[in-house]
Amino acid sequence: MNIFFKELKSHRKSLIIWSLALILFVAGAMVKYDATSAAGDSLTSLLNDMPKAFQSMLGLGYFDINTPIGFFGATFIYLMLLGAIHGSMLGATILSSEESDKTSEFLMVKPVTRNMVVLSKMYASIFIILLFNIVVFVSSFLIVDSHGNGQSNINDVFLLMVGFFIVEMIFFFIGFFLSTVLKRAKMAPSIVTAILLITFIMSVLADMFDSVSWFKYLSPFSYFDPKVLLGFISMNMVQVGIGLSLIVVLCSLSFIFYNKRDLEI
Amino acid sequence: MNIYIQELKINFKSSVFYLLGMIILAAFYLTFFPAFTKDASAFLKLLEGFPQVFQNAFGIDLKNILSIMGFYAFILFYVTLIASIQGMNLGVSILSKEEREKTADFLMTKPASRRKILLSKLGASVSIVLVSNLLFYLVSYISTIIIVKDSFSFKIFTLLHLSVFLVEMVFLAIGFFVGVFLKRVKSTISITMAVVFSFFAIGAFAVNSSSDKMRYLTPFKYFDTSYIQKNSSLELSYLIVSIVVILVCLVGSYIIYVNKDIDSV
Repeated sequence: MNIFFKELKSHRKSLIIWSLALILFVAGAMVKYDATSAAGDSLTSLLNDMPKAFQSMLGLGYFDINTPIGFFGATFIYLMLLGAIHGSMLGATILSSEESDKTSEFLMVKPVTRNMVVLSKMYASIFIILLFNIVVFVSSFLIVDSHGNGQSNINDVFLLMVGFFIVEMIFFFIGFFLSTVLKRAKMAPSIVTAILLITFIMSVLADMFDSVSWFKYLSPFSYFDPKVLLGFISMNMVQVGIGLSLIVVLCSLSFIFYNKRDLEI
Repeated sequence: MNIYIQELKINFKSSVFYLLGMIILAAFYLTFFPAFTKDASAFLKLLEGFPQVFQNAFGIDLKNILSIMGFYAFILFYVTLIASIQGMNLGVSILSKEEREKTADFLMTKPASRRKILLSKLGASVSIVLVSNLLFYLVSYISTIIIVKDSFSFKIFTLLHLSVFLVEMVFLAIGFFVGVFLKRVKSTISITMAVVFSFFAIGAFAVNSSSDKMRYLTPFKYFDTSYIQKNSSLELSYLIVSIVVILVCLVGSYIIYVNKDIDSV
C-alpha cells in the first residue's frame, strides 16, 4: 500500500501537466472547428472520389468535419497518440526508475515480495491512467458539446475514449514488460518509443495502400482506429482480440520476468 | 576538445540507429511511389472533368501534392518527426546527464570553464545533427534516383532536406534549453516525446492552411512544403523565426548554465 501511494504522489505533478496539455489540445482543436466549419461541404463529392492514399495524405476521409463530433473524431488519432506516449512512458519508467535511481536495494530490503512491488506499481499506474482518461473524457465532451447546436455527443465521445483507454493500456504494458525483461532497464523508454513510432507509421501506411493493409494487424493504433470506434468501418474482432490478449499476456509475463530479474545495482 | 570527442563517441551508436531509422523509413515509403503515381494520374484526369472553379481552387495544390516531390515531402514529414526526436533528445540529455549520472563533480573539477563545456557539447550535438542529415540527404538522393526513375527538381529536393535539418536544429536548441532550465531531468526521452509530439499534434490539427498564423506555434509547420515546391525557396519569415528561436534558446541556456547551481553528489 505504501508503494502505491508513494507512486501516486510522485506522479502527481506529471499527471496534472499531462491533463492540462490534453485539455488545451481539445480546446484548441475545437476552436479550429469553428473556423473551418464555415467553409461548407460542396467539396465532399470530389473528396469522396479521391483514392484512399490522398485522402489520408490530406487528412480527410470518413469524418464529416462539418459536425463537432466529426471534427473531433478526425483529430482524435493525435490525442490517442499522446495518450499512448503517456502510457508507454509511465510503463517504461515506473519499475525501471528504481534501478536507474539506484533505489532498488532500498526497496528490496523492505518486507515486500517482488510480486507485491510489481502489483502495487501496476495498480498505481492503472489508477493514474484511469484518472487521466476521466479528465480527458469529461473535458472532451464538455468542450465538443459547447461547440455544437446543443446536441449531446457524450455517447460518441465515450466510444472514442474506450479506444483511447485500451490503446494507452496496451502501450503501458509494452513499456512495463520491456522494463522487466531488458537487461538494461534504462533502454525500455527508448525501445518503447521506437515501437510506438513504427506502429503509428504502420497504421498510416495501412490506411494508404492496400498492399500493406495487413499492417493493421500489427499496429494497436489500427485496432481502435477512430473510424472504427465511431462505426464508419465495422470492428475487426481479430484486431480487438489481439489487442486485449496483448494486455493480458504482457501483464502476466511482467510478473514472471520481474521475479527472475537480476536487478542492476 | 576532449569533451567534444567524448560526446561524439558516446552518441555514436544511437545516432547510427536514428540515421538507419530515417533511411529505412524513407526507402520503404519510396517503394510505394509507383502505386501512388498510378492513382494520382487517374485522379488528376478525374479532376479535369470538374468545373474550372474547382480546378483553380484545388487543382494547383493537388497537382503539387500528387507529384513526385509532393509525395517525397509527405515522406519527409514523418522523417522530420524522427529527426526532431533525435535533435530534442540529444539537446536535453547532453548537459543534464552529467547531473543525473553524478558525473557533474568530475567534469567541473577539470580545467575547463563552464563556457567551454557548454560550447564543446553544443558543438558535438550540432556536428552529429549535421552529419546525420548530410548522410541521410546523400542516401535519399541516390535511392530516390533509383526508385523513382522520373526526373525531379534537385533544388526542391535539397530545400526539402534543408527544412528537415532546420526543424531538427530548432528542436535541438529547444532541448538544450529545457535540459539546462529544468532542475533535474529524470527521464530524457519522456520529456522529448511529450514536447515533440505535442508540437506534432498542434501541427496536425490546429494548422490547416499555409496562411494560418498558428503556424508560428509549431516548428513542424515552419516550412510549408507546397510553398517550397511552388517557389523553389524557403519562406523568409519562417526562416527568420526558426533562427531567432534557435538563438534565443541557445543564449538562454548559456546564461542559465553559467550561473546554474549544479547538483553535486
